[in-house]
Amino acid sequence: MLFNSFVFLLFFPLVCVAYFITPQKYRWLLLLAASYYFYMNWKPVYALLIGFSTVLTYLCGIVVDKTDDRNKKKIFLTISLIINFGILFVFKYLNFINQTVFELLEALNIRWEVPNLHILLPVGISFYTFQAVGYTIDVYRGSIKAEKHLGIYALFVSFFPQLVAGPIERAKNLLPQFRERHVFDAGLAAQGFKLMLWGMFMKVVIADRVSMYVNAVYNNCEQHTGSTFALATFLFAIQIYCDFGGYSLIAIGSAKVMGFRLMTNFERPYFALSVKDFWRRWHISLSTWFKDYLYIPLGGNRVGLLRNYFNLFTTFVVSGIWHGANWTFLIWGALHGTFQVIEKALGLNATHRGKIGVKTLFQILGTFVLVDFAWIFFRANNVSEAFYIINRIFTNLNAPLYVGQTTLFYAAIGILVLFLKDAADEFFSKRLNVLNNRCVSIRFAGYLFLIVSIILLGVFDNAQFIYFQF
Amino acid sequence: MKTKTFFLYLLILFVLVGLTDRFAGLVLNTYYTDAKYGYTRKTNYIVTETDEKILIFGSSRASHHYVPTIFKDSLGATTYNCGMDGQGISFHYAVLLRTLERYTPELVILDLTPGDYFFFTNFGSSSLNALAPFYGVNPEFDKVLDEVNPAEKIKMQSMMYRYNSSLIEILVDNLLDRNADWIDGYMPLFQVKSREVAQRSNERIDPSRFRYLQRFVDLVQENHINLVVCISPSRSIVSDSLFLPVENLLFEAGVPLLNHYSDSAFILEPELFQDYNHLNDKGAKLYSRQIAHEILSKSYR
Repeated sequence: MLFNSFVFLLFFPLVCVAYFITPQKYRWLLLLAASYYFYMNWKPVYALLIGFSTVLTYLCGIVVDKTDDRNKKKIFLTISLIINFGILFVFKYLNFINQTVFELLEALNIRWEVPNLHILLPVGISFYTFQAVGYTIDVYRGSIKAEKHLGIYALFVSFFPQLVAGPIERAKNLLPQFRERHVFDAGLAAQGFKLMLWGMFMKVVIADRVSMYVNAVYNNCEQHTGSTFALATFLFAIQIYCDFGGYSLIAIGSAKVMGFRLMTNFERPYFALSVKDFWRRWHISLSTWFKDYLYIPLGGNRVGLLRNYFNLFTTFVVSGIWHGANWTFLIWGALHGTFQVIEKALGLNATHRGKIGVKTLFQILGTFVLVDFAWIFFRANNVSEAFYIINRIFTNLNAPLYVGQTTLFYAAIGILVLFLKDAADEFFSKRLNVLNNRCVSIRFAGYLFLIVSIILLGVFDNAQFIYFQF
Repeated sequence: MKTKTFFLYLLILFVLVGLTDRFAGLVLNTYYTDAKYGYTRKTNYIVTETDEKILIFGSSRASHHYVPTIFKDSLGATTYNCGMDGQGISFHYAVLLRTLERYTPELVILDLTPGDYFFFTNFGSSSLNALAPFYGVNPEFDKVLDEVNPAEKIKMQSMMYRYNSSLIEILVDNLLDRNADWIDGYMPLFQVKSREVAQRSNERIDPSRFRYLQRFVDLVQENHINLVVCISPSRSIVSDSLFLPVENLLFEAGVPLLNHYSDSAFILEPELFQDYNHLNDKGAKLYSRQIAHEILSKSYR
């Protein structure tokens, strides 16, 4: 089920009402059933995979927690990691590895063809796998106790607001909340609805509109000029932020209405002062996951300088591969790793802003250019197209620009509103925040503007969220 | 915030949204109906005003390929080109439904594009929202929109939603005449942009689109209107089997089919095309004369 579908508009209020009228001891059951129903709207059979991953990590967690034998702990942690990542590998990476090996051997004049698996990638598999694996590691490290209640643990893995595209929650934060008694809190509900409203605006008014232009250009590379690619690349940066940031806000907001606190996933990433700062603001739940479960175990920054650079680079390459089985994602991750290593070496990795001035502006613009350049690899259909696009941008910038008639005009309205809101939140006091303004009339004007914009300017073709494919 | 206040605010918001929806919908409807130019005017005209004896239906290949003045001169009857860019058979069917509320044309010429019954693009499905402003008058007409998506029926209760993504077009079409060269619905193209030849394969029939083709034919025949189905020229390489389903359907219904898709008089002349799928004005005039001559000589009217 998609957040931007009409079905969700019926599903969510029904679940909320049912949640608050259900006695506390059965609420986990209601949410679990709702979450599986939500997921099974895509391909019901894939719910079995979540179920399997849930039972496996649950059992491993119990054993790891119970035993004092260090080796036994390690063995069960390894079993959990191998099987979970194994499933992820088969569904997400096997065909890619097959193809790569085939092409390598073909280059050596050896023809060895392994048939590809004709399977669809289960929606959200990378997200719930990482959440479940993170739980097992936390139990192994002793930072949390294993959850004894299978139902509540299953709900932790499959909680519908964040099941398919995060935020990737930590057991320490989310699990205890399923045992808390939530009474309807009007303040929280209001905050939640505001987040959902703004998230929906970002998705249907901006991301889906911008995607019309971006897809028209990136899917027909041979027909476009350098200036058009430059504009489409700029717009893709906006699209992916509004698509994924919008999803996260709807997820966080819908959980909040029911009284749950999910972690923040985006904090105005395009106002970052450096690539390091960008990763403190972009997909925060994933970047902190990699920091906690990969970068720090590799040694983090408590090692020699070269080794630290290696750790940083490796973490971002793995993060790239997490996004998808394609060389484009690997290069995207490698670029971010390289940018961060260079920034660190040159001392340009600022994360805290002083007074707003020309320097800040240059830092923000410079970071945006680097991040946007890397998005080319993320969006391009393959590596050769990515290089073709880059070549066109640098050699064909004066050529005529493809203007997608009204699409750009509608997109510009949304982008302007987004810029004003993010800039107000980033640089000015909270008094400028329209949706949380103390004056009721201003708040209502804000709500009305967003709702009218969504109805009049939104794109309602039930477009999937980009991050579902990961 | 108190729970009571929350629900009171929620209620006020609902009322405000409802009132805004009605008011904005009325304003947009006024501007839509009053539009003098462009697609807004053409859509409004073909749905609510046509009174010509000959009507031409189809996608962009109809709007750019059939010159009404030539048909009027050759066949001696008023003609209007109802062709609309990006629209498929369900759109034409819905427009014909509304036309039949007012009068019965003598002859309908339907230009078919393979996209009218094949999957190869999402051509003609989501673009049905061009008809949304006319929702709520004719239940049969409404059904065409409802069938796109079951939720559409509920969404259409919003007056503003009927004008979704049309705001700029409506305003511009009230102020600027960007298409002064359009004559009786004919939208001429004047360039030779590409000499490419397209190749098509792996196309499958879309049952719902094919069903609409059948419904269109049935509707025309029930109303005793003469129908001629044409497939206008394209610089595309296709298999002959591409047209078999439609040939069979029309043969069974006794409807003449004039298939010029691979007519060598056109496809060997790139100067007659703006792009592989659209004739330019020169090509359109030549093609219109050809079709008018065939209709006349074979007494299809």
